[in-house]
Amino acid sequence: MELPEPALAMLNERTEGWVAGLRLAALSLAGHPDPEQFAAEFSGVERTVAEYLLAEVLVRQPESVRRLLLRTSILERVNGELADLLTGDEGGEGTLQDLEQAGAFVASLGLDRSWFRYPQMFASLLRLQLRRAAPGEAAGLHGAASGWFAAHGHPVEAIRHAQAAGDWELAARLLADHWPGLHLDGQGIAIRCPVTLPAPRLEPIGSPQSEITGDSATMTTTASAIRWAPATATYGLELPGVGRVDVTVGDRDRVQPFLLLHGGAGPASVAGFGDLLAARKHARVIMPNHPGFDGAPRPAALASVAGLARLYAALLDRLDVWDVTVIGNSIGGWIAAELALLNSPRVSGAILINAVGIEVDGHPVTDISGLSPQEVMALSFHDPGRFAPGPGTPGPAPDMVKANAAALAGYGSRSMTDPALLGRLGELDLPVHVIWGEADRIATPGYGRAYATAIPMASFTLMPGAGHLPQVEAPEELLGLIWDLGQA
Amino acid sequence: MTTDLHVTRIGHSCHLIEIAGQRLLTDPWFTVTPTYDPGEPVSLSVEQLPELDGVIITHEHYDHCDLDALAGYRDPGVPVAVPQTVAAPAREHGFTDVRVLAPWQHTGIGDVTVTAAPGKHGVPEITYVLQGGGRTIYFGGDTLAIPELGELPGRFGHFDLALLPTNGLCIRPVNGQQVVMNATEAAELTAVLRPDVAIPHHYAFTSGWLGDRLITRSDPDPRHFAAAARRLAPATTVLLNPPGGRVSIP
Repeated sequence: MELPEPALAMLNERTEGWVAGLRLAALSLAGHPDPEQFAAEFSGVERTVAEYLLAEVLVRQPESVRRLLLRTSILERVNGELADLLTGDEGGEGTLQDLEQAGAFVASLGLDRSWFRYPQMFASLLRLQLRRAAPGEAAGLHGAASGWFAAHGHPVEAIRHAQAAGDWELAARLLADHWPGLHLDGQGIAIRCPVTLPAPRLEPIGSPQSEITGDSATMTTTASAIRWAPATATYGLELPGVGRVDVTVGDRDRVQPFLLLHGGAGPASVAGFGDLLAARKHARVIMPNHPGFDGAPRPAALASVAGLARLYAALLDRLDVWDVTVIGNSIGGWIAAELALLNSPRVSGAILINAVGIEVDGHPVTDISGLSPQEVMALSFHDPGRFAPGPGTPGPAPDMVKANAAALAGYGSRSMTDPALLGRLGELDLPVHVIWGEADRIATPGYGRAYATAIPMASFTLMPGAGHLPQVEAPEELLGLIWDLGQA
Repeated sequence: MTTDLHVTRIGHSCHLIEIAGQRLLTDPWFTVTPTYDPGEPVSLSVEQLPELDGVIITHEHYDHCDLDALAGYRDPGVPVAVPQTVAAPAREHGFTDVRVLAPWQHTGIGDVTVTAAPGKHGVPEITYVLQGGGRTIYFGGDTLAIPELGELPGRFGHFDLALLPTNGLCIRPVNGQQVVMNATEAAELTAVLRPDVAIPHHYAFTSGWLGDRLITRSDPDPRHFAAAARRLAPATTVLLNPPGGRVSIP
């Protein structure tokens, strides 16, 4: 059979060069009166093709593979964990890798061969077959997929699948949770809903019926159910005159957690603010001491700001905290940005305070490496003379500033910038608030504005009466600013 | 010729004032209880206190007169200025140099003259003016803003610093009676005193989650005072000094 060149090219594009697909197309083409029109309209759901698929492809696969292909066909991309979630089986990743190895239906995305996709035409055929073989199941699969993507920090796919599942309430909630990052972010999400979206409900999520117990429950599990699985524990308590009593206790702890990241000025530069935040707002404030600072050991292999971000993503996993707002000052702000870019489902927002890390034309970060502690303080503070070290007073000790400058060099961040960071900030899909001490002469307000501009939907607030370390110089005002965000 | 003046807020209305080379502690409060919670860190313990030259106490309420904790201070002979109502409790806690003051009476602590000023609260209260080394401070405890305080500029002249309560505390069970000046009233008093610097205190305090809803009502945001003072007393610099912050007054 001969086809005109443009039609051939189009067919090749549709089938993504997939050999079996081309063969299927050829079968459908046989005897077609207008091959060019056929190629233009060919989507892979033609009856001939579907029948061939059934006869030649799916039937020859083991039941578990057939099940995996059909049930995961609703996804744009699939990995082993998702495949297992949707099939209720195990070993999905191995199956996908085997299929890819065989060169048949599956293409891997990236070198680590953890994400895969099906050629579009093949996926269309599978979805058609899924509708035939298991009508009504698609919605449940989309719902489960939505939950997985939401829990793993992929709100766009989560919302798309929630829509496909017809779960408007979930879609609305996901949109409410993630809209600042999604809106006009090139991710082009649009809720297509037949009726008015219900307003996001302010209610505790994680009700008892959302326990992940079995296959059917998994299908209706949402992201929130995975994240907020109710905790219960039994405590054996000794009571005088009674003896040991076992009490089973349901525990719901949703204290707002903050991850507070210090900059080059060291842990002391955020400790006071952390205390204030915790005491005043009854919050949980997690303040890691970056390895290498204040004399703490640092493994040689931990030598980048991105590495620190991965360390703290692991810390949040270990602490099992959710809905974490990351606050970072100076280098800590850079770490916070990198952490937000990791798409940890545990991080729900970031506040960058006089952060460094980006390169901005016309606004270089001042190189403080050769300066004395006094000179650094002069550049850092709105009023360097206001806070002098006093009896028992916490604050930035000049010696510590100097010692920690050396620790800073260990993260390869002597220049305080990563040329690629500015561009990557455009990928952030979290709510971000940028706060800038107006008198900062290390990273100027112009630099701060560029930071906020680079982040989709980020807000920017200039703080008078503070410099590079607003949490030291004006902690009460900073705390108020952060709380005002909730009142706006 | 003036001397250095510094003030470190320990928490709530408890400040460590350095004036004329003397260290004076105001309204000691170190102990946190479930319904008497400073709502902010207490930056120094009694053990961590430096050598004190004197203590001034405005009234007997627990959050201003933590004698149980202060009794652990290393020198029971430290001069303690108190109103009449606190005299006996102070002596019972072992303090041997208790100076009882009524409004407009004064005592000397080193080179510092400590003068009692009027005050009004749920219980008898005095406030204080400290003078020494060419500097003058007003310490307002947790008084209401009363007309008598209008006499202060005429009696003492220029103020370098005013330490003022701002939460407008009201007691719900007694018809919401107000017992502490609020942010606006504190700004009005600031306009009268015209100090170079004003620092608010007595705002973060909480009676506990339920206590705040059933017993007390107050404004916990010190920025309300800063904003009101910018409007009513623009010549004064307002500093929000967090616990542990040591402010030097030029």
